[in-house]
Amino acid sequence: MVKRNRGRRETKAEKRARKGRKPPTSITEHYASPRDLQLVGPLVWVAWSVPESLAARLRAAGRAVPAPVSGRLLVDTGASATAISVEAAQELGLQPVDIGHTYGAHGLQQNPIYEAHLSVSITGPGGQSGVEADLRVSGIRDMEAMFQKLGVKTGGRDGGRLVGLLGRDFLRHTVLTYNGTYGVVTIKIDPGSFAPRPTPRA
Amino acid sequence: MVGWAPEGEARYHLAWEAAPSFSMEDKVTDSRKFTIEDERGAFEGRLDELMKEHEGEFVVFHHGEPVEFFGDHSTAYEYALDRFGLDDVFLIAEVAPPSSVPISIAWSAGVMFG
Repeated sequence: MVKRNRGRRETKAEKRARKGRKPPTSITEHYASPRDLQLVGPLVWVAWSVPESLAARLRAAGRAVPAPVSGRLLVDTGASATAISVEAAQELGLQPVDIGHTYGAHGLQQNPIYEAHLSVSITGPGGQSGVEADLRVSGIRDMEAMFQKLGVKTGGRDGGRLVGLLGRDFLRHTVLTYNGTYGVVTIKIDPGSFAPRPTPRA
Repeated sequence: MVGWAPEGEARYHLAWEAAPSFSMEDKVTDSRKFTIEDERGAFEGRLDELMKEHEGEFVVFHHGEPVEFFGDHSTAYEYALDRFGLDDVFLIAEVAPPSSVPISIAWSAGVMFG
């Protein structure tokens, strides 16, 4: 015979609090107006840094490790891969490891390719979590200048710097909801869809 | 934080096997300053040959010569940093036919400024 559990049932408030302790997996951005969202596009807070492999070697050589470059990535469903602004890459002291080609309406362009580390931060009721990766990324020139032309404040809390594009290599792990009517964008991340972290070389 | 390996590549590396009569140590190194463009040009010049045995791998090029092959770019980068230091120029390229990465048409066309 199964004994019925007569212990106290969890209240709805307690249930909500327990659920709230889970690491957040959703990014929601409310823009000041639908027009603002239309003007600047969906943006996500991130930080670029040097890959840990480079940071460790810089420390071993007694050299300073550049501070991460924080800013925003423009969510770009037209980009197959995430990209870094050349300004951010230079601020990190990254050297190009290759030259790639990108194309858009202006045709083919040559871009430096960098090894860089990306952290996408997610803040929610359960605290702060994030997604991070060592990436091989194209560098896009003059991105910050273009952002400034849009009239978005840079370097401040309002707009932040534009430090790259968030491409479909990241979006393939998410559900992106673009609510243009209300100026709200939600990116729900599926942590289970990410590949395991690379195993360090023995 | 969740680790993100977008490509999910294999994590192995293959050593570059030089021809029997060729020794890496015997090679006379070109002492001129190589740029990343020089390295890329050298890589493209050797691409057909490299494709035969190393398609899909990442090659480290230095002074216009392939040095070693890896299954992923991160391991290749670590190797190159250890071998050539923090300030030297080296190339890490995927042994694959040339391709272009699309970026937003709106961005390039200036539609955003309309």
